Amino acid sequence: MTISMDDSRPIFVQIAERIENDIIEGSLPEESQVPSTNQFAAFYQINPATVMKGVNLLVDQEILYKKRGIGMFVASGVREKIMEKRKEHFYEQYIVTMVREAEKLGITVDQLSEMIRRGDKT
Amino acid sequence: MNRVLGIVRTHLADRWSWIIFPWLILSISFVTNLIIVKLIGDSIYSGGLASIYIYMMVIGILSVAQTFPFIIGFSVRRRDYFLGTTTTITVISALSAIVICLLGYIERKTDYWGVKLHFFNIEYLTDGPVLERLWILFVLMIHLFFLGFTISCIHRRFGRNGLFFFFIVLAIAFTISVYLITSYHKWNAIFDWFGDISVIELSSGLFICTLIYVGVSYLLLRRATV
Amino acid sequence: MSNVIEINGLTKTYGKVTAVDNVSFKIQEGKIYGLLGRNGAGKTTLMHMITAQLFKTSGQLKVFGEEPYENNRVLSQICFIKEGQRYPDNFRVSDVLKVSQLIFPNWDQELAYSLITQFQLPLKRRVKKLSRGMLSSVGIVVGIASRAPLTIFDEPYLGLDAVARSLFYDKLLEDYAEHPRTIILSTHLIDEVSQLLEHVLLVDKGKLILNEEAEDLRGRATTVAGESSKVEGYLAGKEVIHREQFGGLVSATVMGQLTVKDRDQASKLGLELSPVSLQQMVVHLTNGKIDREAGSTR
Repeated sequence: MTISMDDSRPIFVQIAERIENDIIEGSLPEESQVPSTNQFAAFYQINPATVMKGVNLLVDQEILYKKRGIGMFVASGVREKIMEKRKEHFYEQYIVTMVREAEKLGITVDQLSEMIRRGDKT
Repeated sequence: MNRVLGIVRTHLADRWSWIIFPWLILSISFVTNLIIVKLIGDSIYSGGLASIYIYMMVIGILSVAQTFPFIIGFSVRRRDYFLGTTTTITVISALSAIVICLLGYIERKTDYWGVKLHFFNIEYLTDGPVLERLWILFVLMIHLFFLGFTISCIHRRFGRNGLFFFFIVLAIAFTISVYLITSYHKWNAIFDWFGDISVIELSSGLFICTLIYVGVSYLLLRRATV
Repeated sequence: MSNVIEINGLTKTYGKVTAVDNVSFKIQEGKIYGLLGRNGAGKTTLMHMITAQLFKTSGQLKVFGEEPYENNRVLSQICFIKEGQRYPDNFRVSDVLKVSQLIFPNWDQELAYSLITQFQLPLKRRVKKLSRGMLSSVGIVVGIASRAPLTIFDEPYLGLDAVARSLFYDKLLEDYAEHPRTIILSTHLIDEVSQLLEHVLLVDKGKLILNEEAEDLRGRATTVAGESSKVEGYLAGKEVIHREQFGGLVSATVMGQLTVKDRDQASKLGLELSPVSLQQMVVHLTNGKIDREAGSTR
């Protein structure tokens, strides 16, 4: 199986994001072992050096840590940390774009919040 | 060393061309001769043995195009290709000489297959002692192979035009020689010289020619590309 | 890391035609390289010189620190799977494996047979009678099972279907993980392999026009679209690698990371910015309209 990566952005960033997603969604619980570089490389059919770069990005941010001779593990308490980081991005990434598009279509702020409430129910 | 063996293996992977065909051709030639000798009821000094030798020259011509691009493509040294090819033809020529010698022995023991067919015994060439017989049969084959091989190497190195040029030069040289011999009335002397030559002298001469072909074809292959 | 290949000012001319024009680069040990470019760009000529099958016209060429020509210390470490590899007429697939075992010092026969099964290759069939895809598969099997410290694949997946291509990537990565080595994938179709590459070398008209880490290239180019007057002003001082006109609109692709300031400016002008894939970038760079040499962006 191939899950294709977006070829217009550095793949190591996308690898880091996917690991973060797995941590948030709970499929990679804190203190659990992260798949090896080669497992990642084989799964996504990407260069192992690229995976390594993505993993190292998370090690630098202390989201993952290395146990010598065993592998990479998810650090304790990082789920909160990632969620905080994501919340900051959320405004930039979604709200700003959404409001701008809404303006273009003539949707008022009230209509917009109504839509959000509706979306919440589904 | 392994790489040289790889070349031998590459050549001999074509069992049909190297082993089956030559002996099949020789067998057919032999059987045809047997039938003819039966029909005419007289003794025959056949030249059928030449078929396997001429065939080996053809193999020499064909083998370069068949194996050189493949082997060089597998990043093998040109020298190793050359060593492997030389090993192959040396072994094949030696074994062939032994087999033909043995068949010649059987031929004599069976009173020429009972029908006076002289097929594996060639007057003059195989009249001498066993070692001399083996040597001439061996040298003849390796010589013809390398003659073909060298011609093919000219083609490999200089292309079609190079081969064309080579034959033009050869033809001119031949014409000039014939002209000179005729104008100096030396034909008789040349025939006498050929007539006096011994088998050992002949085979040694051919062997020296072979060494020259080997040297020339090696120099050609060293600069050949695929 | 040590260099497996060092090339300096390498040139190959055929009469008046320059197939490889003053090319210089280094290949480091243990990485997967992509040698990219259109057909006829000079990739094959370059690889033929690296493997001593062709003679250079001028320049320097070192492979494993030495001249490769007639040099077994170098040649025995190379496995070059040529697109146009020729086999003797009567060669069977099994003959290829038997000969390969003798030629490549690190050859793994067990692996070779297992790959033959996985690629569903008929051992007893003559190589000459194989389909284009099967022929490619034979090359792939030899290339992987040779475990050569420098393995070069030239257009490895011609004629292969999606399943076989995927199998190739899987097997290559699997064996590369266990037995790291230097691999060069040469192709004009970068699309699928781009994820496998660590480093990209792009050749166009005999010249090397890009020599960079693949990851540094992703997101390096951006397409700017909008009203032509606004776009043209925005493009000033930027390296434009592609330009398309559509009515009053212009869509242009620029090389180089955009700064925050650049992005703000684009947003104010109402220009649309979109990232460009590595594949698209290569297409733009080799469309024959621009002159470029490697290193000019750094």
